[in-house]
Amino acid sequence: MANLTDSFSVSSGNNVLEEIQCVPDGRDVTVNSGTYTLQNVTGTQTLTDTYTEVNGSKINYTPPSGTKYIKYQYNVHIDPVPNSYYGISHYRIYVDGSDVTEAMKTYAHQYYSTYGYANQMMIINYVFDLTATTTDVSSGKFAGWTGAKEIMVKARRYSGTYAIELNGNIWRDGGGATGNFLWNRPLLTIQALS
Amino acid sequence: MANFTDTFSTASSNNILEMFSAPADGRTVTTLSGTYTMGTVTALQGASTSFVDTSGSSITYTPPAGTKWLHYRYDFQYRAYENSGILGLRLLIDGTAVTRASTGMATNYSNQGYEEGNFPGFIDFVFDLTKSTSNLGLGQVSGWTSGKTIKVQHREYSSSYDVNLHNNKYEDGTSSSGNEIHVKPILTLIAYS
Repeated sequence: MANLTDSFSVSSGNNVLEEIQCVPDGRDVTVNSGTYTLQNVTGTQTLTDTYTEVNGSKINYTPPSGTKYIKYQYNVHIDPVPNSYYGISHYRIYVDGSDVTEAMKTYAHQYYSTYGYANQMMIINYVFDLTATTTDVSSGKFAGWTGAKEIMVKARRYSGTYAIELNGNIWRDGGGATGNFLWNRPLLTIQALS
Repeated sequence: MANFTDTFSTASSNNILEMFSAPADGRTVTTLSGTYTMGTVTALQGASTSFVDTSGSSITYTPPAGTKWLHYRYDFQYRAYENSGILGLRLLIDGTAVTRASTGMATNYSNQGYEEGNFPGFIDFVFDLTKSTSNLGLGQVSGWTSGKTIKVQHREYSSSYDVNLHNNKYEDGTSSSGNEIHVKPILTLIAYS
C-alpha cells in the first residue's frame, strides 16, 4: 500500500495533450505549453513567382512534454484572380526554415480560358513524427523537439499567367462578394498527441 | 477538509478518448487502444470503373472502452487526369459499404484539352457505437470490442473522366518531379465517449 506522503500523477483522459485552433487575428492563446501570439491576417495576399510566407500560418511552437506527434493544419481560401485561368499555386510547410518535402501540395482548378470562377478551400497539413531517432525534416521526422520551432507555410504561384490570392472570396449569397466578404479568414490548427 | 474515507472521482479531461493521425509513411503508432502500422504510399494511384481499395486508407481498429462515436477521416490529393476527373468514394467496414458515407468529387468541366484540377480532397464519417443492433450500412456498430477494418474504395465515373490520387501535377512553376510527385494521404481517427 502506498504511503500518505506518496504523490501520484493524475491519469490523463486521452492522448491529446493540447490543441490550438483559431483564426490568426493577432490574439494570444495560452495552453499548457505556453502562450502563443498569432499573426494578424487582415485581407488577401497575392502570391508571386517565389515562395513567400503565408501570412497567418506561422507559429513558434514548443510541444508539451511527452508529445510524440504534432498535427499541423492550415486552411486557407483560394481565389484564382478572375481572367487568370485557374490559379496554379504551390504550398510547402517549413520547420525552422527547412522544407518538409513530403507535405508539398499543388492547387489548381480545371482549365477554362474565359471563366475564372473557381473559389475553394485549400488544406495544407502534415503529422510530424517526434519519435524518430534521427531528424529528417524533409520527411517530417524529428528527434528531440523540446524547444520552440517555427512552423509556417510558404506558397508561390506557377507563373504570372496564373495569378492567385490567398483568403480571397468571390461569391456570396447568389452574387458577387463585396466589402468585408471579399476575403475569408484562415484557420490554424495544431494538435499535440502522446 | 475531506476525511480520509471520502472518495473522489478522477477528473476527466474531456470526451476524447484517443486520437490517431498519421501520414501513410509506414510509421507505427501506439495509442491507448493498441499499436497500428500505417500503410506506405510511394506512388500515385489511378482509378478504373470498378471500385478498388484506396491506398493508405485501411486500418484495423479497436476503439478504446467507452467509445460512443468514432470519427474516421482520410485526406488525400486529388488530380483530374482527363476532362473533369469524376471520382466516386465509398467507405467500408469489415467489407460492408457504409452507404451514408459515399461521396464524390470532380473539378469543373472543361473540354479545352487541359486537365488541371489538382487539390486536396477527403472523405469522413462518424460511426455510431451506441446502438443496440448493428446496421453497418448506416454506420451503426453494436458491440465493437475487437478489431474491425475500415477502408476507402474509389472509382472513376467512366474512362473519359480519369482521376489520379496522391499526385501533384505541378511543382514550383513546372511539372512535378522527385518526392513532390506524390502526396502521402493522412488518416485520422478520433474516439469520443
